[in-house]
Order: sequence, then structure tokens, then C-alpha cells
Amino acid sequence: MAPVLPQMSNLARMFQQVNLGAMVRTLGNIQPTDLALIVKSITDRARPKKIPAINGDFYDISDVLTPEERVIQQAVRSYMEQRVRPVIGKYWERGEFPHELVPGFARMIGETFGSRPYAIDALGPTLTGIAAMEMARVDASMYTFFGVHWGLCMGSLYLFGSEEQKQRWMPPLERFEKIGSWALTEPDVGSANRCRAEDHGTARGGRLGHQRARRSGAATRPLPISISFCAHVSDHQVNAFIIERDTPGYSVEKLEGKTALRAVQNANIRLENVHVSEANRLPGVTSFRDVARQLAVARSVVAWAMAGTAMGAYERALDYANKRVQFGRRSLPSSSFKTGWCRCSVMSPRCRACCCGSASYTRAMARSATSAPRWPRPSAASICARR
Amino acid sequence: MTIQAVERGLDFYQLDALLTPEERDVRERVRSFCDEEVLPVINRYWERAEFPFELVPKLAALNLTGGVIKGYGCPGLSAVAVGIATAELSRGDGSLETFLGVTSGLAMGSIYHCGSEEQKQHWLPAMARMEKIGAFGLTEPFVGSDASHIRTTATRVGDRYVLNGAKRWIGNASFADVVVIWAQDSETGKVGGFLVEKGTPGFAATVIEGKIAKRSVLNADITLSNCEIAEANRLPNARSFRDTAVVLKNTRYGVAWEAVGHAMAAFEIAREYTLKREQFGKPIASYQLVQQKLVQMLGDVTAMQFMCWRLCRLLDEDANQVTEGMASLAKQHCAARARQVVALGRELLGGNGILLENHLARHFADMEAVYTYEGTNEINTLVVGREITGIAAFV
Repeated sequence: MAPVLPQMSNLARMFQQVNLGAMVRTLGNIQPTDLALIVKSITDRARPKKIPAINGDFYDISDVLTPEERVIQQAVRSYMEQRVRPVIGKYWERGEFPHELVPGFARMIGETFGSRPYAIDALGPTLTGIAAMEMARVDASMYTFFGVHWGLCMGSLYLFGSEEQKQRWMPPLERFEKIGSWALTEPDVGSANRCRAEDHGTARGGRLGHQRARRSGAATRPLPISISFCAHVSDHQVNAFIIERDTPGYSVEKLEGKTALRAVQNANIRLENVHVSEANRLPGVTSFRDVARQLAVARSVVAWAMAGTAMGAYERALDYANKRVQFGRRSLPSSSFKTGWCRCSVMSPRCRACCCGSASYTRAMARSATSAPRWPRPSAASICARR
Repeated sequence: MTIQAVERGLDFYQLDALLTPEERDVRERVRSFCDEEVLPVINRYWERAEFPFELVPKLAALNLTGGVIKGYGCPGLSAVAVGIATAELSRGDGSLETFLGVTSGLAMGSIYHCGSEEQKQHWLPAMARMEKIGAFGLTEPFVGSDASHIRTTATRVGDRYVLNGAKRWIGNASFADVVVIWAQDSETGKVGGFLVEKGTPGFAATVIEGKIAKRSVLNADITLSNCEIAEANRLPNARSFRDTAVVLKNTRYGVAWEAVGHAMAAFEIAREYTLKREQFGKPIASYQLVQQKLVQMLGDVTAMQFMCWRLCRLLDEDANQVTEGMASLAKQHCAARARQVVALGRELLGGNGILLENHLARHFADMEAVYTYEGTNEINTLVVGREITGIAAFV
């Protein structure tokens, strides 16, 4: 083997910087193990290892999808990466909703969820969850906008609406020509969902009074409709009503000063003697139990979205750590920087646990076809939130 | 604890009794300033990411600037008093605290520890009155944790120094009257400190936009291109990074107290909220899961208060007995605990916890900066690790 010649220019530079006497004294004390480490460190640096591709789905949970479904997942991912990621930061900081994105977003949803009637359920629970995960992986505000419009507002129509209501409202909502909102929470009623808004039934329909709060989507522009849940005065059971934005007595005020999901427009809604025709009451809602059934479905999608947010965070953190050089090294691949490495290795299984929890839940849902099973509902959402 | 004891400010184990009258007086002054002047206006500044210049004269009137420095028009407070003031100011608003910490602790601290007598006479009295504001430029775009290997250079040309390089995250730099720039001396390769005055040609500062924590303190990117300063503006006693580390050691306890202040605020706001907020027909404070969170927060805050108090008493008795590890442990531990406390508080407020109007959201967001700045959690961990094992594990 030919002898390897040291680079003379490097040696010359080294001797300019080094106190030769001190170096010789140090070399005299060197232990064989130290020497091996030094040589390894220099050779490692001379042959930089290729940085592995970043993958937040370490155990390939997407494997549950068919090849066709994977195409849909990729379509959502590339839309989010190409259209949303470049612009969303500025909207987030200003607390504004990216209206410019709605037409393109609608096209992407049309291409993935399909345009057959009542596309809301076209993908089935697992793929819907994975689509939500892909949205939240890039931006949770965009996911929330979608979740409120599609899952909550359209979901209510789908689950509780009459055939006429579905025919009238679902097509424009599916095309995002109208934007939906969903109002349950009130200023003094959050966890304890006992609505105080009242519906005084009359022959012509209902009259709604009182105020409610915190509805995402309510302050977004293109012609929103709102599904509003109210207690029925006669038996105190919860009912649901479709309210169009320009209905007299219905007013919306944007909630300012949020520090999370800033691109989502949440609003305070005030209902003052709002007259709603009987035709706008959702006949499928007769008690809070119906709302709870819808919430169970919605929560499973939120669990997927949280897995997506965690995936996005993990991927961004790994990318940063791969690129950021301190103490002359990248933070991660070397055996040093144990704390940073350890954080990333902790994040990865947690992302996986979130995905698996959500996946097993949605599969259970798929099995039971119409309604979500009771047992895993809190667990899927709460496992993801904790992590 | 009686409810009264909480309403005076969270002090479950009567830390009050261990304070001197001067220290109690400082606490009361800062607390009233925060309640009356800061809280009514700060959220709007925070959301717009603007600095509340209107508050500077009132902050100056509290006579805290210069902290422990004796003479030169500075208040000569005990380290405990400075710590208590820091916690109280953070309990009001973290951005304002950082503004004060940068000019008082870092900039004035550098001039005090490393400056000549003339430099101290020239700068410290005016800075103590906040007629002049200081900034401290150590971190660079590519050098954060590895602070001893900064790349900005200072080259001596005759009786002047020429500075070249870039700094990042420098608080107050866009409007400061004087910025302490740390740079490598081209001749010796050692780190030195240089005072760059406002308007010096070759110095430019651009405010960093889009922060999600401490939004109302203005951090800047600095570029130095052939920025010439007089030899008289070099800090003569900054001979190597070890001198920079002395300045940092003496401000690190402040950051630990800052975490205490954020955590105190979070506990107090959350306790009040859970007593008022009713769900299922009774205050949520009556639910076991809520009480458990409040108690966890209280335990953390109480432990942090005493840890920080003890560290500062040691500093007051004899600063030399406080090791780097002791300073780092308080910052590392308190920031990590406080980050959990503000998160629990945010959780207890539900959706109201992400609205600025309830103040907790601001503390929650600001703690993210406290957790990372003045030595990341990781670096402070390794400083302590080195001290207790004798093995440096940084690389």
C-alpha cells in the first residue's frame, strides 16, 4: 500500500498556531485510548457521512394505506408543502386568514376527497385522519380551518340534516363556495356543554337569544353559514340550527389577541332574537347525545392532526440539528451533543405512538361502520395531546 | 396558606421573612409599577411586537438600573434585591425585564467588570438614570452555544480598532446608545470587549421579525463592516473569554429569577381563574384534577424561590464562593420547571389561556425564550455536569 502523505499546507498552518513545546509535553502524556479517539474523530471528519433522509413516519404507518390512498396522501402533502408552507408564517404572525389559498385548497380537496355527492365521507376514517395529519404537519391553522368547515359544519349536515338540507347546502360547501362554521361553546360554557342559548319554538320556527363564543371560521369571508347548537326551551334538550351570515340579529366579532392557531379566525357570536325557519333546524339533533356522537368522530381526526403537528415539529427539529454547526460539528449525527440527540430520539417514538394510537382508533371506527366505539375515544386524543 | 397570603403575591413558605427591609421595599416598588403601569398597556405592545418606550422613564424612576453595582450613580442593591426585582418585573412582563436585564446586567455589567475607570465614569451614571441604554453583542448567526469561538474580529490599526463580523439576537441593539461588542482580537486570537456607540459608521442593526416570545423586546441582527472605534473604547480588562464568562455568571442568576416571576404569575392567574370559572355548576377549582395541577405548580414555584434566594445570599456574602455550576444549575432547573408551570397554568385556563387579555398566554410564550437564552438548557446542564464529574462533555 502506498504511504499516505499528509497535506503539507495543513501541517504548516497547524505549526503556526501551536505552541510546539506544550504540544510535545501533551503528547508525552497521551494514553492509547485518547489516541484512538483522536484518530477516529479526525478520520470521521475527513469522511463525512451522508445525512439520512428525514422521515417523521419512522415505522411506516402509512403502510395501512393502499397505493391509491398513498397517492392521495402525497397530493395533500405536496399541496401543503408547496402552497401553504411558503406563505403561512406571515399570516400567522398578523393573525390573518390566508383567503388567497382557499381556491387552490378547494381544488386540492376536490381532487383528493373526490367530487361525488357527499364527498365528506369518501375517504373513510383512516385516510381522512392521515389527510388531517398531512395538513397539520405543515400548519395546524389550515387544518383547523378544514376541520371546522368539513368535519364539524358539513359533518353536522351529513349526520343530522334532512335530505333537502343536504341537497341545498352540501354541494356549495364541498366546493368551498360557502364556508361553514360550527357553534357550540359559549362564554360561560366550555367543558360543561349545557347551552344557554335558547330557542323559543313558535309555529313559524324558532327564535334564538343569548350569545356564544369562540367559533373558528365564523369570521372568514366567503359567505359563511353557521350550524348553531341551542337548548330547546320546552324540554331543555339541545337542538341545532343552520344560520346564514346575513340573518338579522346574528352578529360576529373576531376574537383578537390569540397566541395559538393565529391564522384561524375565531369569533364571538351574538344571537339577539334571531328568527330561524323550521326548515333550518337539523332534524337529527334531539339531545346533547347527538352532539357527543359527532364530537367522537371529530376527536379522532383531531388526534391524527396532533400526530401531524408532532411529525412536523420532529422533522423541522431534525433538519435544524442536521444543519446547525456548533463546536465545529453538526448537533446530531456525532455521538456527542447527547442532549440534542436524545431529544430527537425521544420525539420519534412519540410521533409513532400518536400515529399508532390514532390508527388503531380509526380502524376500530371503520369496523363499527356507523358510530365510533366508546372506549378509545378519550384515549386516542389524550395520548396525542400529552405528547 | 391563607388566601390572603396568595393575594399579596405567591409566598407559601414566607420567603418574606428572610428579606431585608430594602429587599421588601424593592419588591413593593416593582409590583406597584407592574400593576399600575405595565399590565394595562403591555398586551397591545406584545401583539404588535413593539417596545413600550413610554414605560422607560417610569422604569428608570424605580432606581434599579445598575443593580448590584456600587458607586457610579448605581443603586448598589444586594443580589437578592436584584433577583426579587427581576422576578417581580417578569411577573408583570418578561419583555420589559429582558430590556432591563440587557442594559443593566449585561451592558453595565460588562463595563463595570471589564471597563477602565474613565469608561465607568462616562457610561455608568447616565445608564443608571436610563438616559443612555446599553446592549450586549456576543451571540452570532453561526455561534450560539459555542460562545468562546466567536468569529467577529477586531483588528488594530494605529490607535483605532476595526471591527468586522455579524451578531444576532442582540436585545436593544436597534436603539441602544452603546453596544458592547465581543470580538476576537486579530493579533492575539483572544476575545475582547469593545464599546460601539450609536451612529458609528459601519455599524448597522436590523430588528428581527416574527418572534413568538418576548415580542415587545426588540432583538436585532447587527452587521459590522469596517466599523472603526477608538482604542479608548476597548474594555481594557476583557482579556479573554474567561472575562466574558464572569459577566455572564453574574447575570445568570437573574434569568433564574425571571423564570420564578413567570411561574408566580402563572400560578396566581390560574388560581384566580379556577376559583371564578364555573363548569357543571361549580367552580372548576373544586375538581380534583384542577387542584392537583395547582398544587404541582405551587410546589415548583416554592422550591424555585428558595433555590434562587439561597444562590443570591451566597453571592451577597462572597461572590467568589458561587461557582459557575451553581449559577448554571439555578438557571437550568428553574427555567425547566417554570416552563412546565406556565404550561399547566395555560392548560387550566382552557381556551382562555391562548388569549392575551388573560395575560397567561404571554407568560407561556415568553418562557420559551427564557428556557433557551443565556445558556440553553443543554449547555447549562453540561456546565453543571462538568463541575460535578470533572469531565467536560460539550463535544
